Amino acid sequence: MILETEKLTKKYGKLTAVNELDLSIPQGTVFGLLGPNGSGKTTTLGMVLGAIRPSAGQFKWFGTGNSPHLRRRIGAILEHPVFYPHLSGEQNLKISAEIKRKGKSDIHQVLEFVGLHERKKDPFKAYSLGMKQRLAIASALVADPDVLILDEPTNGLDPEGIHDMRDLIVRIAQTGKTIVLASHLLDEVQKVCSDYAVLKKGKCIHKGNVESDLLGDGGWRIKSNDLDLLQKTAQEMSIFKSVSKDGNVLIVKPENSIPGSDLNNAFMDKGIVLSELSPSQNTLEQKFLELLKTNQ
Amino acid sequence: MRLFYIEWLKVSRSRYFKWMMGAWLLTFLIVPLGVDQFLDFLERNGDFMQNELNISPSAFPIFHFSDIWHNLAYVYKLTTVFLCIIVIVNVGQEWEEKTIRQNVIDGMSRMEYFMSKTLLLVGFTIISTLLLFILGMILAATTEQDMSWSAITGNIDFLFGYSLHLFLHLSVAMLFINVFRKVGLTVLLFMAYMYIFEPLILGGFFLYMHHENDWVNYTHFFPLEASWRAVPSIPFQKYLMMYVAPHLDATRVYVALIWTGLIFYFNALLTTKRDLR
Repeated sequence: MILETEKLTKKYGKLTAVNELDLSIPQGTVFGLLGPNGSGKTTTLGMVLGAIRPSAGQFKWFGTGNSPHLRRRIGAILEHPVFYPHLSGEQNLKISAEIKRKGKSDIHQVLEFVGLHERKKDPFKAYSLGMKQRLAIASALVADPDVLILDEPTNGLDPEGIHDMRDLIVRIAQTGKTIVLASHLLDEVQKVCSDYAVLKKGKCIHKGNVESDLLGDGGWRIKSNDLDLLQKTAQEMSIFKSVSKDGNVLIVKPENSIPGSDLNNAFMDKGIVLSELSPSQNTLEQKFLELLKTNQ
Repeated sequence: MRLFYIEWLKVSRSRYFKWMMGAWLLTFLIVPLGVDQFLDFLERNGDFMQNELNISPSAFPIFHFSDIWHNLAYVYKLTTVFLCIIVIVNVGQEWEEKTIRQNVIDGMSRMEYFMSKTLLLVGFTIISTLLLFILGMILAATTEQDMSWSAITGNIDFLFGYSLHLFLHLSVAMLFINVFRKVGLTVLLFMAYMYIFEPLILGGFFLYMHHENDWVNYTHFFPLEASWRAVPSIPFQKYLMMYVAPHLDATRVYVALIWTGLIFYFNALLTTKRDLR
């Protein structure tokens, strides 16, 4: 395991921000830490990164402990990019590299990787928000860390910036690094994460694998030119236990599991040509809302 | 050295740092010229001294080895405020920008961070004392006098008093910014404490106490007063035939050292035990 927490707790007076959290993050995963605002994601990351002192409980990095020298194997951004505003991107990375005791070994490489090489001499304060986020990723990547922790990396970015950031995260994941991604943007997590945990009021209410948790229940999404006729026909067919409309698509759930080709043939027999036929899948958003509801 | 280098990387490109250091250096170099001008002024206007006592102010051995270290140490205490502001801005920006948190996340231990800031204070103290020593040597060399080793080191202990004063003052400035964590507010509060609050309390003691010894005994228990008093007496009083301490006062040095230790401890506590949110 890359990170294990055991009954990790943080209290601020009467408020319990993180409550006896047990978490295990396996090596090589892209792990999503989900939760609504105030659920304790950032406090949890703050604790495991040494910025916040736990009130109780413990955590271990790389199965050994939590000393500062282990943090040098981690690249992390908490909340928003934090740098010395008067220094250039390159100079800021130099400081990060010195702290990690790696000199300026791979600074140019990581600047190239995040696409900031051309602007490396500009002061940090002159960067756009997207550039600041990219510099933060570059800083996290300095000294070739084993784990990358990104807390809300797309906060404040425009759609293009979000796309670029997601692309960057996927590229990093392809290098085999373990990534912990805290976010409340579920679409983002669904697209890049393999495993995830959901926090609510400082407690972990669910841990799971994205792919297996989002597998559908054997239902199909179908579409044709005449949706009303399609719906009427589907309702008359005895093989379906439920038929419902979702925008301009029909969701049908067969009594028994049925292959797509058989389903297509069944409608062809009724004189209807399907223009779309795909397995229905839950979204992380549906799963998340369901989890929050059942854990109220 | 690594911590010092990291600190250097942080400040070397900072505009405020360059301006403040420039202002401090300028003041540092201007003071002897100011003293010269002041002596000229006394000479031109010192009718009483010249006519009644037959003493020329320019004859005062201000830049001579018997007096120079005490004189310089005393006068240069006035430039300490520049370095205090630099420390407040430097440490305060780390709190305000949350770069202290990022340093810790990047793998710096909190104690290492604290030591890097303490090294900055030590650096200022060493450089400042060294500059004062060089300045003293140059000024002394420009006057015809004994340049023997014993003459040079005669009362060089005042330079130690100056460095103790400077380090304690800078430590108090760091304590202020570690407590309040906002640069503007801290500069105001520190100035008010240094120039208004402590002097007011000292004034109160002065009025309340009937014996001068009582006053002296109580007042140097305030941190900045202890720092000022690390270099004792107003040296120029001797030119008016008043008593001036010939060397550092051991009690005052101990009091300043105890304050330095206490403030070092509280600074370490505030830096290492706090949540960096």
